[in-house]
Amino acid sequence: MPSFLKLADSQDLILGRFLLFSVLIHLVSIFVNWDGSFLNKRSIHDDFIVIEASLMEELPDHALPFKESKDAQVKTSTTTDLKKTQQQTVDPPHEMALPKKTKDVAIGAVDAEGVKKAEVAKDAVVVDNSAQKVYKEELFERLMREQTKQETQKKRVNEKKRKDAASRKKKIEDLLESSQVSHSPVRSSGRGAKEAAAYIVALKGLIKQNYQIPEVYRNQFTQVVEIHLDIHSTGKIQRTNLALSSGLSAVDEIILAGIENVGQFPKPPADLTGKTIVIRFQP
Amino acid sequence: MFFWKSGLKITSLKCLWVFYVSTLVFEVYALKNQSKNSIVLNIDHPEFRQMLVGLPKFATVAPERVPEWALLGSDHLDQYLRLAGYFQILDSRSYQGIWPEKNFDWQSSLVQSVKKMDRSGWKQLGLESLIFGKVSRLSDQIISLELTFTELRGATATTIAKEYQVRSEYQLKNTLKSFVDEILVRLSGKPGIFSTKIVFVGKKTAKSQKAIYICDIDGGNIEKLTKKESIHLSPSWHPQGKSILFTSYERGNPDLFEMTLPARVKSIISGEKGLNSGGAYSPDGKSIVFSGSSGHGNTDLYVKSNGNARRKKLIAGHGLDVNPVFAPNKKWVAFVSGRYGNPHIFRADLEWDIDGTGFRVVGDRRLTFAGWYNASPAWSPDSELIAFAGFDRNVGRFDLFTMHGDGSKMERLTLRQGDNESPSWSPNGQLLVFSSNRIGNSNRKGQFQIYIMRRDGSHEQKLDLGMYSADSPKWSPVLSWD
Repeated sequence: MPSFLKLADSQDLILGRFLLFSVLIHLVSIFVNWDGSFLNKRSIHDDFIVIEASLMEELPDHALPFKESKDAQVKTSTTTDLKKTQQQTVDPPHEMALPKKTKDVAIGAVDAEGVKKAEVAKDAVVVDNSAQKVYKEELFERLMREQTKQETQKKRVNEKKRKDAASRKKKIEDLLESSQVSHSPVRSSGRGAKEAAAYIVALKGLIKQNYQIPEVYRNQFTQVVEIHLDIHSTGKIQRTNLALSSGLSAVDEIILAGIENVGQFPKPPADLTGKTIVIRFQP
Repeated sequence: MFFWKSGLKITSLKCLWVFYVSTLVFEVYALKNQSKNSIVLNIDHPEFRQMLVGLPKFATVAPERVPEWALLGSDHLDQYLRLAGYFQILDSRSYQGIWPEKNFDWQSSLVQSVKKMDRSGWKQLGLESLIFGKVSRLSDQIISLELTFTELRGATATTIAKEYQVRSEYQLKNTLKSFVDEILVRLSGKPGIFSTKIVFVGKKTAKSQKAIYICDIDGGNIEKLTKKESIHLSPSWHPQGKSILFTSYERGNPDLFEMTLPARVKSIISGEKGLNSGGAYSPDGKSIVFSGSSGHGNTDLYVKSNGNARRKKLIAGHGLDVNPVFAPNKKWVAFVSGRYGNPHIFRADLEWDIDGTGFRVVGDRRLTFAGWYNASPAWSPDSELIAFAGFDRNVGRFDLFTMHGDGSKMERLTLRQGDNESPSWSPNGQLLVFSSNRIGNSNRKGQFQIYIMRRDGSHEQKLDLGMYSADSPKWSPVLSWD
C-alpha cells in the first residue's frame, strides 16, 4: 500500500471530521443555487407562473380575477350623474311662471265674481299641480328606462370584453404549453424568465410562418424532425443541425430552408444567449 | 484482532472518502454542464401547399422531329398535373435562358443528361421538382416518348424515368396519365387518380331519358352503360370497382340493379313494390344498404347481405330515411332523415359480428343542425370528413360543405354559383366531383353539369362531357380493369 494512504490511528478522527464536513457541504448545496443565492430554487412550475404573470399583464384589468374591476367606479359615477340629472330636470319650467296673484285671489275674494274667479284660479292651481306631478313621474320613468338601457348595454359590452380576454388568455396558455420551455430551468431572476419566455413565443411564431410542406408529402411525413439551432447574441443563426430526420430528405431540406428563410431572428435575451434551441417539427 | 479491525475501519473509511470525493467531482462537472442547457420548442400543424413544378415544353429530336407531338405532350401533361391537385406549374416564360439545356446530349438517354445537369439555375426559380420530355418519330406509326421526373431537394431525391412508344393521341394521353399516377404514388404513397372513372346520370339531349354513363376523370371516353330507354338514377360504386348499383324504372317500379364492370352484366338486387333506391355497398362489398318503402308513405333503410334474397330492416323511424353511405372504416353509416321535419344528416353507429359478416345499428345521432335542408352525405376515404349539400336560405341555393364525422367544424366549399349537389371524393381524398347548374361563374341556374374541385373548394373545373345535362356523379376506386 502506498505510504500516503497509510494513516495513523489519530488521523482517523481528522478523516472522519472531514467526511462529516463534506456531507454537510453537500446537503447545503441542495438548497443553495450555483450563484450562491439561498432558498431561491425555481421549479419549472414557478417559471410558468412567472411567464403567465408577465403575459397576463398585457390583458385588460377586467380579465384579471384578482384586480378590482373598474365597473364599480363606472356604476358609482353613473348613479351620481343620474341624481344630478334628476335635480336638474325634475322641476318643470312652467312652475316658475305661476302668478302669485292666484293665491291672493283665492284668499281675499269677497264678491261672487271674485269668489268664482278665486275658485277657478284654485282649480287651475290644483290642475296645474297634478299635471306637474304627472309630468315629474313620466320624466322619472323615462330617465329610469334610459338608465336601465344604458346599464344593459354596458353589461353586454363588458361581458363581451371579458369573453374575448378569456379566450385570448386561453390561447396564450395553449401556446405556452406547446412551447415546452426546457425543464432545465433558467436560474435567473423573474424578469429574465419572462424575457426568455416571450422570446421563445416570438421565435415559435416566426418559424411556424415558414413551416410549409408540399401536400403531396403529407401521407409520408410521419416522423418528428428535430433541428438544433444556435442563435448568436445579434440574432443571426450561428449553427443549424438536423438531429432527427423525417425519413424524407426533401422534407428535411424544406424545413431547414424554412428556418433559414426567417433570416434575422430577434436578439435573444441574456438568459438564452449561448443556449441551443431544440426545435421539434411535428407532422 | 484489534489490528485487523482497525485496518478494516481505515480501509472502509478510505473507500468511503474516495467514493465521496469522486461523487463531488461528478456533481461539479454535472453542474457546470447543466449551465449549458437547451430550450425545447415544439411546432406542429404544418401548413400544406402545392409543390412547385417546372415543366418546360417537350424537346423533339432526331431521327425525325415532331414539334406537334411535343406541344401536345406538354399541354396534356400540364393539364393532368393541375388536375391532380398537388402541383403548381411554373409559367414556361420563366425558363427562358435555361431551357433547352445546352449541355444535354439529346441523342442519349434523357435521364442520364438530367443526372449530370447543373440544377442551381432551376433551384433559383424556387422549383421543387422538374419534368422533362423528349419525343421523336421512330416510324410512320410510332412516336417515341421519354419522360423524367426529378425532385430538386434532398440527398435522396426521387427520380422517375420512363420510355414509351405511342401510336395515337389517345395513347399519348393515357401514357401521360399513368406517368402522373406514378409520380403521385412515389411522392404521396397514395394511389393516383387517373386509374379511376366517374359514373353519372346524364341526358344526351333535352328529350333523352336519364341514363347511367361512365367517363374518365378528365371527361374523356364517355360510354353509356344502361341501354333500356327508361329513367335511371343514383349510381354508386363497389369498393373494388367490380360493379355499380343504380335505380331504374325499366320495370315500371323504382328497382335496385347491379351491373358488373367491365362485363356489364345486369341483375336486380331489390324489386319490392315501391321505392328501392340509393343503394350503397358496405366497405367489404358483401352487403348493400338502400332505401325502401315500408308502407304508409314511409321510407326506411334496408340491408341485403351475402347474396340473401330477403331484405332486412336496418334503420326505421318516422319520415323518410334515404341516402345511406358507409364510412370506409366500417364504423358508421351516414344517412338523410326527415324524422324531425326537414331532411338532415344523421350518423348510425354499427356493431359488426366477430366474423365480420353481419352488422347492426346500435344507435344514431343527428349531425347537421344548421341550414334548412341537408342531404347527399359522402365520406372521405379516411372516414374523417363528410361532404354534403345543404340549402342555405340566405343564399337561396344548395351549396357544398364539409364537416367532421361528428358533425363539428363545418366548412363551406361553394357559394353563389347556382345549386351545387351530390359531392363524391376521389380515392386519394384530394378532390371532389359534384354537379352544379351554374351558368359560367354566375349564380344563375341552367342545366346540371359535372365539376371537379380540390377538397378546399378551390380550382373548380367543369368536365366537358358534351351532354345536355349530367348529375349525381360518383368517383370510382382505383380500377384494375381500366
